[in-house]
Amino acid sequence: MKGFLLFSLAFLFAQPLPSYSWNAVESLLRSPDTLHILNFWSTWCRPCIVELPLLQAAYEKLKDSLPLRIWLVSLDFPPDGALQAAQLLKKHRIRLPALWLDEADPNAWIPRLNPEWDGALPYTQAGLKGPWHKGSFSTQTEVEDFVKRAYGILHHPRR
Amino acid sequence: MVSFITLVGSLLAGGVKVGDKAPSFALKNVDGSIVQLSDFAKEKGIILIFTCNHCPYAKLYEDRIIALHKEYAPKGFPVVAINPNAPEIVPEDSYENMQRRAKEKGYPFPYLFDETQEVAQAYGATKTPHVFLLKNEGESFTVAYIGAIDDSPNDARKVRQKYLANAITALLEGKPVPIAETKAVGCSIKYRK
Repeated sequence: MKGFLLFSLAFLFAQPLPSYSWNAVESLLRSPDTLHILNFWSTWCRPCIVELPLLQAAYEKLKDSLPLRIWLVSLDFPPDGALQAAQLLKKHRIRLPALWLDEADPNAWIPRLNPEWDGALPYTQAGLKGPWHKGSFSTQTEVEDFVKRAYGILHHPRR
Repeated sequence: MVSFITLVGSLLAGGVKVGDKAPSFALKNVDGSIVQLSDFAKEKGIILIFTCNHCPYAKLYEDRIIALHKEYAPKGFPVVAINPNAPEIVPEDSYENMQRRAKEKGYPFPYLFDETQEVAQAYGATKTPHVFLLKNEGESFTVAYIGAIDDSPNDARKVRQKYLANAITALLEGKPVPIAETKAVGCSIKYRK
């Protein structure tokens, strides 16, 4: 009982997500052999939370066959957003690498990522130039298909 | 390859662009009356904002939207707010809850319910809040600006760029809108599938 209680409250002791400027996010993506997927989410976005386990499961399934990293980029509000996001991830046992984006004005970075994304959450994109997915994924297979398609486009460009 | 990527990205195609004619609407207000675009024929324009009750971004902007109406309605640009969310997906955005919120906040502008989501689709609204500034051209309205209210959703005190206010000022002065489109993060509109 005691152990269960400690376990279920463990998320309260989460450390805030590391905070990144957009420049820092871009430099994360510079390893050319890895397929980087960026998922933009926040704790107040319900469909975002629903798809987190799908992203985690798809990652677990594909990580051994593809050089894959799925980054969870939290757009939660300061001053507590980075902590709230970390607590939610811990509570839902999501272990994907996560960061908190420290940018106030979306116009400073969204056009550098994809001028065609207007900022609605959730949003997922492969790297800085890859295909993207507006809105949420409804199944794990949908996530896997997106990842595989992105890998095909970015790493094995067809002629 | 480029066209393939574009295809992936254009799931929610449609909607208006800056310069297009504004789609008409006739929607139920929180006071029970029907409000339509043609009701504003005597105004210089309309600040049309797709917003809702539940979204934290929309909440952050509630007071700023009221302030915009108070400042610009006397100058010919009243606010018209529209909630496009499906209440069976987000109960907090039901018509009854809209009435409650409008009363609590003392909304001085119409707060309309886009029950069929057709108006939001016609405009191509994707999130809340999502602004479409309309300019009265005499016979019809055209879209003069699309995007964010300002550059600091989190903190009204840290606003540096008042994108929407700058666009209205330009229209009032008969000048071209300096930045006619901006990005805004927001809650995606809950469309029925």
